[in-house]
Amino acid sequence: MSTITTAGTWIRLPTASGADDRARADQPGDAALFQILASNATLACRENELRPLWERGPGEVWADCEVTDDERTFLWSGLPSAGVLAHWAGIHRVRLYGEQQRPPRVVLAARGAVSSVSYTLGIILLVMPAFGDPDPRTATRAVARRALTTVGDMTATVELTAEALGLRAIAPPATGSPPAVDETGRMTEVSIYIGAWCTSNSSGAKATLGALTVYLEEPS
Amino acid sequence: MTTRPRTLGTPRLEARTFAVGVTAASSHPSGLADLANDAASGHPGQRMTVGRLAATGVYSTHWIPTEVPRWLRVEALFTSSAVTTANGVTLKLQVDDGSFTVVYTDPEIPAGLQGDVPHISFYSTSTPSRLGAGQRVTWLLDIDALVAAGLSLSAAVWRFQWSAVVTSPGEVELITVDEVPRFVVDSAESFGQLPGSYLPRGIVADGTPAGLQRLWATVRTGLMLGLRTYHSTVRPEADAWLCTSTSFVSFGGSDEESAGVPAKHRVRPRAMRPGVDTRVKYLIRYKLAGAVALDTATVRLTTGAGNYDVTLTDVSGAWAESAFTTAYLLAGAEDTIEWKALVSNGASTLHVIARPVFDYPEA
Repeated sequence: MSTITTAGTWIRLPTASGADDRARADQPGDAALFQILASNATLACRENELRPLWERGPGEVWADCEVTDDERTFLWSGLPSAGVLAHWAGIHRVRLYGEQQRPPRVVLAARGAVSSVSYTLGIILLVMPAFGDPDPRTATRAVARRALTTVGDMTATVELTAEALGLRAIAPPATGSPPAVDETGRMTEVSIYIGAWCTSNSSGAKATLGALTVYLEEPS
Repeated sequence: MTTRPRTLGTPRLEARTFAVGVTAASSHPSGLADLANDAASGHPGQRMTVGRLAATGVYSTHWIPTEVPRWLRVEALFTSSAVTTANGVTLKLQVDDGSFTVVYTDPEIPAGLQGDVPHISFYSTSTPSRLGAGQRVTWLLDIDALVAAGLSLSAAVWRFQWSAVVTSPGEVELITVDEVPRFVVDSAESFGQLPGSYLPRGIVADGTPAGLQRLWATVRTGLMLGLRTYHSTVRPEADAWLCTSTSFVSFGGSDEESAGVPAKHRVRPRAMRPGVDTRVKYLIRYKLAGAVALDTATVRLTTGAGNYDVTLTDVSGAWAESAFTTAYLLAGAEDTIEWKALVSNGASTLHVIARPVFDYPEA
């Protein structure tokens, strides 16, 4: 049976602490008020989590994978000077989303073009539960390819599963005198890697890669 | 001040379980209190990003101060462009709010960000993964300590200046800063619901700052201070984006997806009101070289919703921040951000090194 926890839009109420605050002292609380508060809070939890995580500006790519166009053999140790785009996009908090408590999707949004339709430009998004050597054989990954000479959108989307998430403890030192309550806890997160290749494998036939952005979006 | 620990979680409160009637309260007020706490401080979204650095440089990133996070987490990965463990990178961080500066030698800046130690990759023939064998370092910046040192949470923005000394083949793969969600509720803040106000079979505690009076304020914090950073590309001061054109042009090769066409950065707008354009604001860190009195420069942010210009008037030749400029992202699943600029006097040169775009929620 489906459940409804939010109206899906922010519902305005009079200013908090103002004369018309619906939650001011001695004001009867009715069910509608609490439904609105719960709806708004649920919406904020969801939308605030779906945030941009990383971006980079344009560049050029011309090196192929070790086996042509096979992302499982992508050259993760390659450098831009050798025509490879391989980046660590950071380790980021990811929290479960919605009534079904599923992880959000990780999206790599890019724009790109090849110099000739004979070639393919590929992008790879790889997600691991913790930082480490990017390993496309075991990690959750997605790819997108483009073989057009006009610059256009490329999107690689990873559908996260619970096993793709790592658990991380945050334990800063207690501060103040006397020390305040430790602000310690645990949260789930993912380590994200980005790559791009071009099957031309020649610096004389470079693919153009426009801006790249990584962000979270709601699960499908 | 009263504080209580909390664990991260988003309670599910189904609309149909709320009682119907004019005097009925929530059927599960403590759940609603937890949900409000999570909305306010469980999903903070601002970040700062400095991409790959292969050369020494000074970079600036920006953060809108809010009382939501207690800690900022800095993650950095130090790599090498050659299979060797020789050489590395030293980092100095200083933070200013426009009127006060915490310098890198101050105790509020953690060791490792004081230019005190080189960060050296472990990339070698025996650990031949450039990224995986990099040295990853995590620091936590204590916002309360930075405020106690003199920075103000009331300032419009804090600037984080990163001075990296890179000795080849050492490199910085990434520096990223994000806001740590809250693991305590603190009555000294303007939001937060203390669990003790909602006891089983008890009357909900009333009065400032406890209980229902803070409920709406807490939920609303999730809208007004749950900010996300849409865009955070930066350049070093010595290699800025440049503009000398008197008509709008893109910033050049490092910011173009093809000749003369600015890069389109694809972003997902925060859809608090689906169908309504999302309000954002941006600032520019810049200097105008070779300019004289009354010269100006203009930077244009273009989104799917329109063009949004800021006029830059500081002709001193020193680095400066523009005022925040309001813009909108087109309602929908995705929009794009692109940049152009012009100068009023073609003999001057506009240098831009940071252009962050933030949420600017409408109440």
